[in-house]
Amino acid sequence: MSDTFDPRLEALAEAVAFAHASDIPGSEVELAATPTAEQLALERTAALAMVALAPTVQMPKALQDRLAAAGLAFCAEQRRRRMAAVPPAVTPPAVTPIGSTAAYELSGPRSSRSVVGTLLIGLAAGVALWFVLRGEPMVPSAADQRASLLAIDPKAVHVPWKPGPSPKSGAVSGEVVWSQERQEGFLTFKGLPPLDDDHRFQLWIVDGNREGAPVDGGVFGLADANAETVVPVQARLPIGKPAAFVVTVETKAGVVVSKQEHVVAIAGL
Amino acid sequence: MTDLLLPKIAAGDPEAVEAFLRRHSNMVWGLARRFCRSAEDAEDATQEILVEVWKSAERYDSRAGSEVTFLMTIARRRLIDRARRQGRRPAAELLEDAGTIAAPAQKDRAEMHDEVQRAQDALAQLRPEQREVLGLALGHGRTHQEIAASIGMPLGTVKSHARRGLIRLREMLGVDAERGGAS
Repeated sequence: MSDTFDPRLEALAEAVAFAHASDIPGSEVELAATPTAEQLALERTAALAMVALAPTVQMPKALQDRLAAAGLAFCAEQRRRRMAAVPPAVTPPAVTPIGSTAAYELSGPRSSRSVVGTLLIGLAAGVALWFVLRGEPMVPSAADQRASLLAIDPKAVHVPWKPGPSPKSGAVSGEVVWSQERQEGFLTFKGLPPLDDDHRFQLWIVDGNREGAPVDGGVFGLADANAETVVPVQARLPIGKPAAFVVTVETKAGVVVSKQEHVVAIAGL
Repeated sequence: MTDLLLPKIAAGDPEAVEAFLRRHSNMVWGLARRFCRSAEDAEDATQEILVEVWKSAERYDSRAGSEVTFLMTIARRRLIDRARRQGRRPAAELLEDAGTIAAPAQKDRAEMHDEVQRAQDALAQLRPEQREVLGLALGHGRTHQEIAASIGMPLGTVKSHARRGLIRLREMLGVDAERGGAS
């Protein structure tokens, strides 16, 4: 135990112990912006004491979800940065627009899944024929298009949504379906927060092979946030290696680069 | 010593982030509740602290201390910065009671470094007045004036107990001036 009185050290210890109160009367010592080794040692001591004094309190479920989503977004960004530092080994595949002849060609040995796919395509063709015979324009729904995509690309990935860190996040559920081969995807949502007329949702795709901001995946609104809704992905650029899909709330017209102030859903690969 | 999570977090490992949250987030939340005026503010502070720790994970050096000390050094700075930025003092009593689990989760504590146990032992060896003042200042974010008013002690005596207590704690813990920990 120290018996010596060192005014400088004592003043520093007081400043560290009451650093949270340094801007109120009675605080004579201001901590240096660039801490000395002595100050760091006292701060570390204070931190250790805080650990010993810290209560363990069960946090609310909503905060747990926010932190989990923030962690997922952080990991996606870290992986994107690391991948961006390495030249891509594989050239992104050419984009084949849905609706072209090639889009419905099945390749490889027929599996039970491809048989199901053929049946689904047949069903879709039957529905189309019914519309044509009735003389009505045939516009397949997003859900139908999603089913077709799943039928023709069994390797399409399914990634579940998690609520984003924004306080606006609802109890979102659903998934992203993304076909890397076809550069096509669909979002299924239930439970996104309701928006006023001045705001819309915007999808962003974090591409591990691309530096800079995430790729704009399209602006959309939902008629009924509580109903399950399917939304097509409208990626503005080819996606080399998708790392995460992020939904933000933006102004009605959407934005070129999001500040990500209101991230309401995240799906990380 | 438990497995190190921060190097894995720096590499973007989601399982390490999940484990880190499981291990430490309730402790950060508990402190944020004590240092923030509202639950909403405490939630934002908790997220801000944890995200900064993840972003700083690359700088973690296990030779300078345990992960929990690294975390708590950052947590303390962030809570202090927030209090200053918002120009208001923490009001511990506003959030202290609701939802608090009376007994610390032993499992969580056991997963922490021996350093924490030593800190608890060292605190227990302080003079009761020093322990009380440091507990209110460091653990509850109280100002010297609030402490003086709440325990009926002259302001100068409160300050004296705080500085002597912290210096003695540092001596007992052997915290080296050459090893900074989180910076």
